[in-house]
Amino acid sequence: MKKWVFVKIISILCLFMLIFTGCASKESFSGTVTGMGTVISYKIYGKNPDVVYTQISHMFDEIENACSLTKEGSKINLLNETGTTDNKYITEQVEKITPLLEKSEGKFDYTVGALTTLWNIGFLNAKKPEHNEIEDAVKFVDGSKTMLKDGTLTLLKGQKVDLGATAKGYALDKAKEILDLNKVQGAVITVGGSVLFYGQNPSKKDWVCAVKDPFNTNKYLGTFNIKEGFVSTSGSYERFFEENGTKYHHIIDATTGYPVNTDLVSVTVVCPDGLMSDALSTVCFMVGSEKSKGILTEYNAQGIFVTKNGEITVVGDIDFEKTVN
Amino acid sequence: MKKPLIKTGDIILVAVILVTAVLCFFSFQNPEKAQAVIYLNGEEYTRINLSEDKEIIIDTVKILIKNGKIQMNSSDCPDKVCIKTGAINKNGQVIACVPNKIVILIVEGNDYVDGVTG
Repeated sequence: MKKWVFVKIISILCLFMLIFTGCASKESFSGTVTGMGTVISYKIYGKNPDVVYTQISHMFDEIENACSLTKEGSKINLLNETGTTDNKYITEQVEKITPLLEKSEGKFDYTVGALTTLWNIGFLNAKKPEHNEIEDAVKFVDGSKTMLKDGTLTLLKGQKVDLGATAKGYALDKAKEILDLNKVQGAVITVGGSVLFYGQNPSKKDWVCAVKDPFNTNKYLGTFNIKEGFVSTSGSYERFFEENGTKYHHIIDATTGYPVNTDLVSVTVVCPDGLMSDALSTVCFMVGSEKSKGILTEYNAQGIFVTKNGEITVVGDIDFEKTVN
Repeated sequence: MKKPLIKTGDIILVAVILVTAVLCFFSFQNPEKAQAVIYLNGEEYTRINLSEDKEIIIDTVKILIKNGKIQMNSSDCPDKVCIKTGAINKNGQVIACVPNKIVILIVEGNDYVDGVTG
């Protein structure tokens, strides 16, 4: 009689355990949307993941309204018209990436706006800007001449800020803050080519990150494991046009006014900071793998460099495994 | 009369618990993750998530994805073994249409990659 009661109690306990483990570990919320001028996808694990996503989505909207050059009336467009702003989404980014101006020998400059606006027209009409147009625009590119004081950024007349190389990584930093506040179990959030790997994978293993093959973006170049962090990629295959047999890509060298001259076709950076992963992927693309070593170490980051002839160089501790197709 | 050791009520209770446990276990198989790979002539033709209802037509064969399962819906093969296999959705399950050289294999979906950069 006692044995039977015991069996009943154990069965009920097992049932509750099953129900509760199910609820706790499998509650997830995922999807893909467009936003910030690109594709955003998310997978959030833990309690109320839909509520967390709504908060993150709102944050992304705020950042887009502040930093998007293509959005009418955005704070950055206002900055570029009036020469000044105190919008924190802009000034925070500018403050953090200012040191990269020197580290990139002047190539990575957030006032490259005057040049990118010129080249953007090229990307729409597949036409290279005239040399004198480029020379004229270069004169207005010099991040060292701006002033950031007491939360207000002031530009010289004619200067234009472009945060295209950093805004996505920055948005992911803000997403991470929201995940922290909500004590989320784990999440993977992707904005364009930048990815945030957060917390614990429900499978208890490390997260797996794939790198797109620059020679065929429908395939993977390879994969690596990551516990937590941000991953961003810059590539000449992302945006380019061809004229008279020459390929012009979108990563403009601020010192020459032309797309940076390099053997590289793709650089992926892994970093504990989102904004930096994004910025460094561009900086490292501009300065090459050798010169990148010091910069990556300084920011506790690692990199994967791919050249035009498919040579892959890994800088730092990444267990990159090439995909066999 | 001696009190029976096991009452009918007890049996019903345990049965209900066991059935619920089994149902819970199966309903928590995350259907989101299930993915099918369709091979044509031995080469990967396409990979598809089973989460969205869809119809795929390859020449004279119709493949249907519905309610998280995949099946051969129609085929011009003589024996229709592929159709008789029915709908599958569990990791490792296979439907093959030998005359048409089509194989459908269930793989654990997006598991192997959590995020893509590039």
